Amino acid sequence: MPEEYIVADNFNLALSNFDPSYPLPADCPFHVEREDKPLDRLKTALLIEHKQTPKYFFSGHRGCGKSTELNNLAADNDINQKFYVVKYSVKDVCDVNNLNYIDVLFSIGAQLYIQYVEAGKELSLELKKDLENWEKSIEKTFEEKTSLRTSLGAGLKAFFFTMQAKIKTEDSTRKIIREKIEPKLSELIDKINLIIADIEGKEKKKVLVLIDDLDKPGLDRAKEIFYNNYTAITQPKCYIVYTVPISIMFTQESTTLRDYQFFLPNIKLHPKNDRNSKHEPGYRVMRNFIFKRMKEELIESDALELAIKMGAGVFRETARIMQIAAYSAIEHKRTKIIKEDIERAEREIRSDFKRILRSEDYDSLKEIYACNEICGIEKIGHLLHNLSVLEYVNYENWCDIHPTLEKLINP
Amino acid sequence: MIEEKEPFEIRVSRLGGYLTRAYEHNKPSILFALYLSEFLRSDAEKSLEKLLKEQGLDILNVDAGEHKDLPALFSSINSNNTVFFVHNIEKSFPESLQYLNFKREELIEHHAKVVFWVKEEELARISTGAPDFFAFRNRVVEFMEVPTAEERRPALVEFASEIEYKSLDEIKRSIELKEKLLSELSNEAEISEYLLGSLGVLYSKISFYKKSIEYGEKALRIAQEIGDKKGEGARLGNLGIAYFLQGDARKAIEYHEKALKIAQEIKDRRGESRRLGGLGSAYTFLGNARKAIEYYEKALKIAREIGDKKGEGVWLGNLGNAVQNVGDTKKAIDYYEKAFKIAQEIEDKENEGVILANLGNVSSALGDTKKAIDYYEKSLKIFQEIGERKNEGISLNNLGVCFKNDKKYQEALACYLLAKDIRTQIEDPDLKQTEANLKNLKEELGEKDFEKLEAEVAPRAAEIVRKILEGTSV
Repeated sequence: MPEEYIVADNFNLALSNFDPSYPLPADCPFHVEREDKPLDRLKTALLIEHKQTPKYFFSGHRGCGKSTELNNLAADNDINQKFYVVKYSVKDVCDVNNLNYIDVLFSIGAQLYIQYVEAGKELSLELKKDLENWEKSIEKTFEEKTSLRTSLGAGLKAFFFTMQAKIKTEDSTRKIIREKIEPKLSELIDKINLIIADIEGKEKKKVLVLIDDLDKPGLDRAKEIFYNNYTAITQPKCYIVYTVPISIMFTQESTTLRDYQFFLPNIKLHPKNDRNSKHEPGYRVMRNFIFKRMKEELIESDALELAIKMGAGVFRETARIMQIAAYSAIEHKRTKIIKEDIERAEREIRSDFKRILRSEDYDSLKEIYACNEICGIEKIGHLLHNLSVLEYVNYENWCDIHPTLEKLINP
Repeated sequence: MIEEKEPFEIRVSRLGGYLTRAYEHNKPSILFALYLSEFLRSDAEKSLEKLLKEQGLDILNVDAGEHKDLPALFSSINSNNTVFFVHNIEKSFPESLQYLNFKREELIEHHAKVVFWVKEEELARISTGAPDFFAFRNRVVEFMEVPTAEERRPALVEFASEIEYKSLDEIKRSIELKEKLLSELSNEAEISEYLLGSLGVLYSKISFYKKSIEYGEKALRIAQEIGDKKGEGARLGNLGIAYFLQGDARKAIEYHEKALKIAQEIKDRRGESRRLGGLGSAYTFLGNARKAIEYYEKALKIAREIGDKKGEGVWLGNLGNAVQNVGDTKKAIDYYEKAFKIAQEIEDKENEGVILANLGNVSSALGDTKKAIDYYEKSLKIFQEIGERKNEGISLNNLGVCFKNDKKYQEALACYLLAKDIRTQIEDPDLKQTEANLKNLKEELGEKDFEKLEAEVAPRAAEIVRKILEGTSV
């Protein structure tokens, strides 16, 4: 993370500011307001009253700012007035190679408990007793099945921590936990709901859980969690925002999630079927994105426009292009980034695509290039996944190929 | 390919630039170096390594096949000036993809500086199998030229012919790389000959004599086909050495004589000196000390004339052996000392070990067991370090004899057992010697006591020897 957010007046600092690997924290000066404030829809949905606590499924193209927007949502004033917010990433609490819905559910309970207690707060005695009994019943299983012991009597927080650590790192224990919990799933959900109720009673707020990085497992695992076990993961009686892989929205089963899905769109740079005209509000956002990180005088204006075009309205891709271009300017001892530097970045990104596109993909890309329509989701799911096809939204959804690929399709 | 027109050096310096910049600004850097040929990779790695070292950065080579959870590895040993070179990522699929994809932030948090050396298919796998991680990349730099491009040829030839290495790891890495290159460049006769020849020598160094001979014979055939006289001489000579090490002195003489003839024909003085020395060794083995001394002296004379220090050291040492065989211990020690000085001067570890072992033999023959043990231990350490298995077996065996004479049976048995293991593994004809020594020990101790000791020592023989070398009590 750049420690200081200074607008770069030299290429060296620009290289740092355009690092593709930093999601921005809330209130970061580098943050740009999107023209359409897409998160407002999710925010509004969360703020209205619901009879049943809703679960939302949040997705977007890789690098379009999901984590950044989620950070902002968690820090939002209105949200914090209505909600007690618990945000975490599954990668911190679960095993990356072996994730199932029980792990996800357990992590919700564990994180609710741990984060609440770590904030210096206390749950009611009655609940603690109840949880301790539950803890004992689980630990008993451990003694029966293995010689492993959790830290008996070391307190509930330690219990949740140990269990979480075991789920994350120990294959055999994870199996036992799942085997033990699965037949009594209602018991786990019951405990989660007791914790939620207790927190809500004490805080006089609703509980909102934001789970990041659930879009990282592969499509199959995500389907298993979100479709096959949809009922289970929607059981906890609190508001939950799950991040999900974008490709899951393009599968046949996706109707299950349809009503509650929020898609963070890319920044639209041109109208549908009209590649030569510019959608000025989109360009404004991306110019803003660049100039918050680097001074205007460091780039020629035609280079700037090309950089935005080639970035396809995806923040991270634009950052990458600017980083490569800045380095190219350093190599050539230039004082300004010129079109040639952007073209170098364009070529590099095109090469990255060329390596992964199969010959049948070119046909799909040609079709999309011609009509900007999503034609046959089974053919382009993986193309959306790898960013060679990008989806845009205005009144209806449409898509286009990554602009660096234009020269491949239409030389 | 996009970078076709850019010189190799620019691309290396681009990688270097990213890494040093990341180091100076305390940032992570995730880079991919895409290569077509192992040779070019090795070349690019060497250049980059040099460049980074000048900037105060350290390289840590990582075999992904052995470390699938790469983020965890980076986090656990990362220090600010470490640059990780990741190889063999293919062997870590698919687990490593999940780890990278899910734990990509760990690389960022720990400011990891990593170069993934990948082939095209590997990079494609990463970009599809770990897309979120791949999205964090800073740069992909391509080294996609065909390695036989004329301007790289001298370096390729130099590498293909290289046989001097300082450690076992270096030898193994070189063998792996040369084997890969060999399959890549199978239609390049000349380079193949160099590679086969060099592999023959390297396999012989790690005591794989059968393989050494197989490769040497192939190289010899190519050399004869393409009329590379110098190569033919060198291959014949190296085959002579391999046959000698395998215990076939007559065949060794036959090859050395042919090689000597070629060396004299083409006026390859250095080769001539080596072949003469090789003949000396073969005659020593056959017990003809006088003839051996004659050959060694000729070899030594040429080595001195042409300033071949290494040869000079080796022939001096061998002369020591030969005169020792005819009973002139004083002269032998004199030769050994001269040889030892040269070996140290030119950092010829192998010969240093050999001389130390020979000094051990002399001390043992003079009845000074304590001194002999000291020499053998020193030589053993060197052989272990440079991976000279055959000599390691000799030192262990001889050390065992000394311990037995000192009535230190536990130590003696541990040395014998390890020597037996090594000699069995490398199919060393000297295995008979160690077996006889074990039999002697058994007779000395009596069957019952021997079996009791063996049960106790066998499972921890390596540990016992390690403690002997560390100087800690067993």
